[in-house]
Amino acid sequence: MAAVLPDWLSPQEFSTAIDEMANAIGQQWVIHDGDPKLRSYRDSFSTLPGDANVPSAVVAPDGIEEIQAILKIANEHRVPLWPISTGRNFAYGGPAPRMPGYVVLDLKRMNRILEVNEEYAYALVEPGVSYFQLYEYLQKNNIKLWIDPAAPGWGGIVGNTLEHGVGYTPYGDHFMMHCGMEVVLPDGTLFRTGQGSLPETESWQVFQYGFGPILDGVFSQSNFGIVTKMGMWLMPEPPGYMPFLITYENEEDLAIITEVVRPLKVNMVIPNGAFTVDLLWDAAVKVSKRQYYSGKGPIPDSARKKIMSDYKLGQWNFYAALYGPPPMMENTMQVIRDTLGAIPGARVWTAEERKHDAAFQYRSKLMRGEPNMTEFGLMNWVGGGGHINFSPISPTTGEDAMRQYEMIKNRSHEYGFDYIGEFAVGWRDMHHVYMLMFDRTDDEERQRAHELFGVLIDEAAAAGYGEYRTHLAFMDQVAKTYSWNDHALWKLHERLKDAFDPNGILAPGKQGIWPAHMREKHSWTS
Amino acid sequence: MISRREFLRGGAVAGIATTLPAGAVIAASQTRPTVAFDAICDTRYEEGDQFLRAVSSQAYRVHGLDNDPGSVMPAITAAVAEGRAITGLTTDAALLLAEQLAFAEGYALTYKGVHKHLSTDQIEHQLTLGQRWQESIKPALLEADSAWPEVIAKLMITVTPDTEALVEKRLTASASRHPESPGHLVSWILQPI
Ligand SMILES: Cc1cc2nc3c(=O)[nH]c(=O)nc-3n(C[C@H](O)[C@H](O)[C@H](O)COP(=O)(O)OP(=O)(O)OC[C@H]3O[C@@H](n4cnc5c(N)ncnc54)[C@H](O)[C@@H]3O)c2cc1C
Repeated sequence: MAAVLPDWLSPQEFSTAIDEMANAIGQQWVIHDGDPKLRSYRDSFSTLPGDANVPSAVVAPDGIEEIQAILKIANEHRVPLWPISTGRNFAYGGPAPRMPGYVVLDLKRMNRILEVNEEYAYALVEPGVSYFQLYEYLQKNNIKLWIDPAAPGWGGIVGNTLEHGVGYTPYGDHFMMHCGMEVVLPDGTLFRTGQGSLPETESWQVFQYGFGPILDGVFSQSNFGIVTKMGMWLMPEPPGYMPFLITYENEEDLAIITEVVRPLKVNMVIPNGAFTVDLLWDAAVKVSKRQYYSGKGPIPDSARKKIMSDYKLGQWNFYAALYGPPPMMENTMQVIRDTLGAIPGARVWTAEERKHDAAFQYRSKLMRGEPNMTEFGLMNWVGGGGHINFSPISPTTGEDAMRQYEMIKNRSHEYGFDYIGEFAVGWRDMHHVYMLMFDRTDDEERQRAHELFGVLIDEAAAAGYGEYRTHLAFMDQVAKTYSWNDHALWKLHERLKDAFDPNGILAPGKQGIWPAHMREKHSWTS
Repeated sequence: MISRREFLRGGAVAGIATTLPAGAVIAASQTRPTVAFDAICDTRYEEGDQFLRAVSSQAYRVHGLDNDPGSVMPAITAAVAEGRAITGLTTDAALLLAEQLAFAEGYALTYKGVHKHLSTDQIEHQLTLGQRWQESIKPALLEADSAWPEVIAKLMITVTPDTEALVEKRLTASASRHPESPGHLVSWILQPI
């Protein structure tokens, strides 16, 4: 099958560019021309029809010089490149590019763990290093440090952090915990951020700042450069670990739970990401919807009640953990019992009491930095594999939690879908993640899911809630919602894009930031 | 004693698996596979067990999955490293992970079946195939009732080199659902093409 190409690129020019890239990095590291391996660069689970956003080719360089060579060729022929690190960004687009026909720049071969410093508790890694890989390295070498994986252990430190991803230990805000980047700009310029630009430094991974503006953020969720190394702080293994679950009986309890969580988080009584998880998210890891309900539309309350009783779950299920010397944990646990545990109907569960519970087990692993893939079990709730995440942010208040919950639940029910969500309190903020599951083998259902997602973005924005990241298909729509002062921020992003990448070769359209030559057709303003 | 399910989770060389107390082994197709294949099934469900019993005498290696769909990953990595085809009757999540790993090594789905219970006594089979379509499968599925995993297994154990699955056929049959069944499973063949 002939590759779909961007409209300004002729098949001949594309073919010349690909040949030149193959010469630069070796034919075996270039995939194109209907090679079956291209299949692994699709997002076959989104709300888009068929195999949308299929790349025209994939190039997998190893090292800075090869990246620079590819950039040079891409600039000459105006070939759009889509960089990925581990390429597992499912729920937001997987490894697929923003538009069909881009060339994926797959950094999987750059998967070296360059340094692990046990004393200062950090690692310096290349983009292709996955959570599983770093975890195994630490285990094998008996290094007493913990990583902080996202729920899917096959993702990686660099890609996830650049997407502002979150984890479950006290180091759960990944961007906050990164320290130092090495970046290649679209014109091939190579530089290091922070202390890394001082030639003799020993402080690149211990101090996040340097001298002058802090640029790291400019290269996250953006299309201004390719990150080729990143430092990440790791958590020293604590002397004790105490995960717990508190189940709550009523939907309305979300308000009081959130109110009680806020001071516990802001005062750092709960040290890690505090997750208030709805019934179906927890249940879906173990059972499917059809085991309780074979009708159409959202699962009825009677079936929810049955699931609660069969699996001893709450309408809301609060997960967190304590870390440290056992007497300190016991003390803090008492505070938890006296606060979150004192909400009427609450039941506090220990690890021992939930040792046979698959949902508790995988969360317990995540909260101690042990990567796994169990959360993918959620895909089995309706079957058919479709999934996409809607992730609005708010302050940690009961009112905001209930408002978002009601808004999203009511809309998803109206569109015939279950509400499957969780509220993650990082510190002062709350990430609400609604996982929209649909049967992708049913075209009408897929389209309905797509429509619902668009409606949610606009409704959330109207209520003052913006998404912290989104799927490829909705990047322009979300970008449009960040519109304060006549879209001043996105206009600035565009000026930066023009300055960093005048030919517009790097990830055009990522986060709704389009290069000048594509702006008229695609822009968030249209 | 280690249970059969625990044993399969570790990945068992087929033949050994069938000697375990797994109940009656369904007679496998007389047609020998022309391609070596591994078989993967979700041993939490009766359907998975049925499938496994029907394929295990022909498979090179069999693997059982549990609550963690990630348990499919080492099985795929091992089969792909040796270029073997892989057949499965699993949940969608396990297939999603299997596909990603296998596609990266030049594998394609040469067969995919979606088995959706429409009610407690009706099932829809959506079969997408390459060149493997056999007219005989239709009456067999219509008659199979809850033994449909065996019919599917018999279609799959004659694994031959094939093309990517693109042609879809749908049929609805009566089949009573096991109370524990997830009501939605996928059968599939991944092979290098
Ligand atoms: C069931 C499920 C659970 C999930 N749970 C979580 C969770 O707990 N936490 C979470 O954060 N996410 C979660 N996700 C979303 C997602 O799967 C993870 O964030 C995953 O880690 C992202 O993929 P990756 O790490 O392979 O990054 P990649 O796919 O490699 O990168 C993501 C994007 O970052 C950019 N990028 C990557 N590398 C570079 C580079 N070197 N230079 C410049 N730009 C680059 C690209 O735009 C790329 O598309 C979940 C998804 C699912 C389906």
